[in-house]
Amino acid sequence: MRLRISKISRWAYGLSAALFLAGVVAQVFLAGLAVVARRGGWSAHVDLGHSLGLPLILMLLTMVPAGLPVGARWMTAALFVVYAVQANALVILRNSLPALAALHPVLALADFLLALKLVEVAFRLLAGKPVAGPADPLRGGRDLMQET
Amino acid sequence: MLRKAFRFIYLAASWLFLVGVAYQMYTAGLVAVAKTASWRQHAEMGFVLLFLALLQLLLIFPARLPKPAGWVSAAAFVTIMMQVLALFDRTSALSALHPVFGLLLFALAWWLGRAAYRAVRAPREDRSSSEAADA
Repeated sequence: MRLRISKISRWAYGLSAALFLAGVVAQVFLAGLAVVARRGGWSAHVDLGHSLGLPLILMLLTMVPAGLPVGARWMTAALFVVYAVQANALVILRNSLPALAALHPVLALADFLLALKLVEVAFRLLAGKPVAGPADPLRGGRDLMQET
Repeated sequence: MLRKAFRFIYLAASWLFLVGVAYQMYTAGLVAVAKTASWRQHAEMGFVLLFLALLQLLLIFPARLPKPAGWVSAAAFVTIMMQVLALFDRTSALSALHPVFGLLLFALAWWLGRAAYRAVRAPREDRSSSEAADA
C-alpha cells in the first residue's frame, strides 16, 4: 500500500513538475507575444501565471510521499518561493520600486532551471535510476540527493 | 600549462555569459515591466553575448573541454542566432520565441559554466589521463 502511494505520488510530482516547466515556457512565449510581436495584451500571461501555482502546490504536497531526495525537496520549496516572489511581490512593486520589479523576467530563468532539474530528478526516480545533485544546505556538504 | 590558461579563460567567459544572459533578461524587465529604459541597452548587450558565445566556441579546442561541451557551445551560438533571426519579422507570432530562446540559452550557459568549472577543478592525474586519452 505504502509503495503504491509512493508510486502514485512520484507520478503526480513528475507530471506536475513537467506541467510547471511547460507553463513557464508558455508564459515566456506569451510575454514575447505581448512585447516582441505586439499581439494581444497581458491578460493570458497574467491568467496562466496565477494558474501555475496549482502544479507547484501539488509538487509541494507530493514531494514527501513520493520519497523525493532531501535536496530535491529544498529545490521544490525554493521554486515555490521564487514563483511567489515573482508572481506577486515583484509585480506589485512595479510603480514604487521599478528597478526591483524588473527582476520579474530574471526569476523566470530561475523557475526554468529549477523546474528542469526537478523534472529530471522526478523522471529518474520513476525510471529507478540513481539521482545525483546538490547537497542539503542544512547538513553541510553531504550529498543528499538520494532517497531518504 | 597553456591548456590550463585556456580553461581559465573559458571558465571566465562562460560565467560572464551566464551573468550576461541574466542581465539581458533584467534589461528586458526594465523596459517591459518597469518601463524605465529603452531597448538600446538590451540590443547592445545582445552583441556582447554573441561575442562571448563565439569566444567560447573558439576556446573549446585549445581548452580541450570534454566532448559534449563543444556541442553545447555550438548550440548556444545557434540559439543566439535564432534569437536574432526571430526578430526579423516582428509581425509573425514566431518572433515571440525570442525570449523563449533566452530560457534555453540560460540553461545551456549554466551547463557550460558548470562543465568549465569541473574542468578547471579536475585533479591533475585526471587531466593527464584525459590528455592521454585525447592523444
